[in-house]
Amino acid sequence: MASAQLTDEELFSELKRLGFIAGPVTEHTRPVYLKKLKKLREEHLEQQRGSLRQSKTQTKTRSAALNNNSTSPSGANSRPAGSRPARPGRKSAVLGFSSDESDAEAPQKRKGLNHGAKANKGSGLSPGGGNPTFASPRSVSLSWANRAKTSATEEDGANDESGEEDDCDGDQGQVKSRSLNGSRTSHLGAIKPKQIGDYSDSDEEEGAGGNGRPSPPQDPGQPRRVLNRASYTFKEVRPSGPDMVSLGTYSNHSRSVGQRRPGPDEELLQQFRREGETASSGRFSAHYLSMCLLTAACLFFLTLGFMYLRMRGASESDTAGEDGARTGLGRGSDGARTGLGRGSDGARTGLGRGSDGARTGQTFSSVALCVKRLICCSNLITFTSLCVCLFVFLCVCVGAAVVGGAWGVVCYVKFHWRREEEETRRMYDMVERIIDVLRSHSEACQENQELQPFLPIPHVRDSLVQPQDRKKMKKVWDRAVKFLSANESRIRTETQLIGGADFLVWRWIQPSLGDKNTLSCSKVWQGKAFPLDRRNSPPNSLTPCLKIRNMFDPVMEVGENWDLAIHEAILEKCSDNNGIVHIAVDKNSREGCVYVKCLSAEHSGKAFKALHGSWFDGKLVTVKYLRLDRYHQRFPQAQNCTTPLHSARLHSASTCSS
Amino acid sequence: MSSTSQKHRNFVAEPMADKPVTALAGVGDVLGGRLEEKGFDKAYVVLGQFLVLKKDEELFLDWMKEACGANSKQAKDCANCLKEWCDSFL
Repeated sequence: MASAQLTDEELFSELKRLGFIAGPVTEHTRPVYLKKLKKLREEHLEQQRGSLRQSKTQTKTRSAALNNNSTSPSGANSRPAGSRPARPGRKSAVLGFSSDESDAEAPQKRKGLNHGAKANKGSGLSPGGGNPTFASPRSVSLSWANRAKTSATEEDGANDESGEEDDCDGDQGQVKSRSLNGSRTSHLGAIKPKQIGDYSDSDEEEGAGGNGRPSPPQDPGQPRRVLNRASYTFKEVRPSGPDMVSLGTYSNHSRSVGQRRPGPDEELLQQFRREGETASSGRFSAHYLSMCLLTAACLFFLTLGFMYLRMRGASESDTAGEDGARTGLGRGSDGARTGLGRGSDGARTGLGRGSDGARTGQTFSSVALCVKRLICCSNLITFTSLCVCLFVFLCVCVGAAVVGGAWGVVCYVKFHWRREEEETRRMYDMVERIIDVLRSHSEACQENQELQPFLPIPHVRDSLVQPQDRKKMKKVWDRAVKFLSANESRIRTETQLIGGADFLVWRWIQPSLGDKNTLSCSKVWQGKAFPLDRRNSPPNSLTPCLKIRNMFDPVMEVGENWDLAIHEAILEKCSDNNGIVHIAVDKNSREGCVYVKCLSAEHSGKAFKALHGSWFDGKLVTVKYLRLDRYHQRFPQAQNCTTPLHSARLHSASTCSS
Repeated sequence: MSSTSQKHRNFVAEPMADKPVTALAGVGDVLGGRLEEKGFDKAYVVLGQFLVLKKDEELFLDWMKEACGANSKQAKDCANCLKEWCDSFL
């Protein structure tokens, strides 16, 4: 891949083909765009490879067994088997770059070269863009794989790779030497680890100055560091410099890799597997730890039981114990015994429900007895027994505390739940009372027109809740208010000015009683807001379809036939216009949209002039033109409407045949 | 909302006129020297490069790193500075 031979135009068109519109390619922007191109190519290949991974892994597992000690033909054969599906896609991507490919296995080589080139650039590019930590191991691993591939396939060295690396000149020599070494053995499975080792070694060498390679800018350094981290397993096995050619080492390496065919996918899979294993090992260690603790506790209790049994057998002979020692330790032991007794009692009551409780209580009491007997024994034993009894005392206390805590938590949860239920019931009760009050108030309003049709919320509260309860019921009240605003459709919350102060009020929205609505509601046209001139309306009407906005408020409308009222209103307003053939009210639109179709653009223009900017029912109406095809899409029934509509009130006969 | 440096604020506050390249945020003496060696002796030349890369931050970062060896932070500061300047004055 000779980037030097890409002209500026070719670079530009390549980038464009990969979906990236580049700026001008000048001498300064050229390297940047080259990097971008490589990165895009890499991503492109990644996508393609990702889709083909499943098919590849199967072929690869089959070839893995063969690969460790097989010669190159089988390796080479298995690889083409895996990569063959990818080849056709690869070919097209490389067309622009194929000028200097001289290898026989052109497609594979191209693929390898692409990988190698891209990875090289990618490694330089990755710190700059995207996710360095993630991308670079991947790209680096790709570079490993592809160096291996290229070296395996190319018998005469990766001469063509030199063209791609115009900013990492030192790498070229490395690659060449490595590829030559690799090709000598032509052992694909082993080459990769070797090369990985080479890279890590080259890192060390670079540090020691053994290479004499010019220190490149920070970018390649970073991925190499990452490389170092990722190539741990290889590094440890890896003995020394890049001139290890023996087959034995290679097979060692390959075995260390895990008896698997190290294609690029395999490398990635291995990385993921390694990560998975470490993660799972972490989990296992945690699990293991908990198991340990559990077994330790069980063992402790078992030993106590055994001790008790043993002591019981031995106690008969030792009943003539040391009184002196007993009195001396009487206080401590009494305290311990009472503590134990208390602890055991507490534990027993706490665990009274479980069958476990009885058993453990018995164990504790038996432990107490055992300890008592221990205390009655000889001097030597008393001290140890004191320690033991203290220890046991502590354990019992802890156990009792834990049990007590659990029981307390359970009780608290139950209590809390019961309280919640109680409160909810009270809230619903309150809500019902509020609704009753509002309904009665609205009924009263209807009789008596002087009353306001809404009630301020605080007034309702104060009338429903006794003064002494107000503080207690505050929480219930708040929940009720929230419930009403969210769930009650007949009550609307608004802000009104009452006596000079703003109040949040509730308005009871009466369910419609049919015709009452059309009569009482003032759906009238109330004049024009502004004269229509060139600034706020198009000079000529564009289409025969109109969209009228803000004719109504869907949440406020009540009744079943308010949309007919809207129809009426529009027809009335455009009564001189003989060309309205279809009206549709979008009942669900928040903006109050009404769609109107006219016979012709001229008619719609007239309607536009009549409607746009008028006040209707307190709202400013605006009109827009709609495209005819969109209108027909939305209202297919309008396609056949040809008879003009007329207002029902003004014309006795209103017909629309659809 | 990351805080901007004084240099950034100074640069973005007014048209850059003939300011030297060291007036850019993120570009100090060392980086400025390297840029000048490459021919980017004034801030507007770097602006030119930024514009030629179509104000693409990522590409500009790459270019900065390559041209003068800036690290991520310096390059990003410079890119942000130029971007903001463009938003105000371009």
